Amino acid sequence: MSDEAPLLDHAVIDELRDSVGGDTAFVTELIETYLAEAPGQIDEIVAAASSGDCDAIVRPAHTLKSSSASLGAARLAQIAREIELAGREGRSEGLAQTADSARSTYEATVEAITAAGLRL
Amino acid sequence: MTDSTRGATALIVDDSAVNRKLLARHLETLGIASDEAIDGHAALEYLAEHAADVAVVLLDVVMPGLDGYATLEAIKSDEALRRLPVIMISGVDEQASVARCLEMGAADYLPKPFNPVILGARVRASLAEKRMHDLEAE
Repeated sequence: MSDEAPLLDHAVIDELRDSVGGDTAFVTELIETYLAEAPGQIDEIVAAASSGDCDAIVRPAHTLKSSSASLGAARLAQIAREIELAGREGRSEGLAQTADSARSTYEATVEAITAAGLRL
Repeated sequence: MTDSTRGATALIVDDSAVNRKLLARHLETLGIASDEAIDGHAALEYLAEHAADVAVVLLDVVMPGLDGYATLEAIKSDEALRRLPVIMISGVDEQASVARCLEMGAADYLPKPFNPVILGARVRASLAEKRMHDLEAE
């Protein structure tokens, strides 16, 4: 279930930091880029879900999934994956609720990122 | 830096700034400079002007407008571009997508999130092969 994944997988963030030679400033910059992009993707997801447009929901969900996974936002990545899959399979039932869950999970993720001292 | 990466420039094509930044950073550690395009149309516009400067294209699949499949097809059907190595880097991990891209002429297909070590190995391999073909053509 979506609630099982942590909001922030610190192992992923640590691995990311290691992969760029310990460059904390770069990781922070990447996180700020993510926080600038994600709200727009979520807006697209919510808009597509509210109109039951399964085709339109796939791309923003897919992009949100991969960027969230790259930065350790595991729970949001999992929800985005579920939304992408539902969109690809044409399953519009319950999509609006899942889209709302994506938004609330994103807000909780921002709080977790801030609490972890990962922001500028 | 190896012979195949020296002086090389990559074109990163992805609608996500997070993905573009991360790829650019990992390429930088390989000694490879990079330019970026936010979608397939921007990539083809860039290649129309700068193809001679590009050694490899890293191409996302799911993008707005012209997606990765259509962009790959456009590159491989253009006489001036078709020898350019294109490495697909995508969160679409279905076997059918991988097979489709390879059949269309992609040099390789990497899943997202990508492993930087594997990325480096596959980029170096593509660049080395391109260098060999360029030398044979001289």
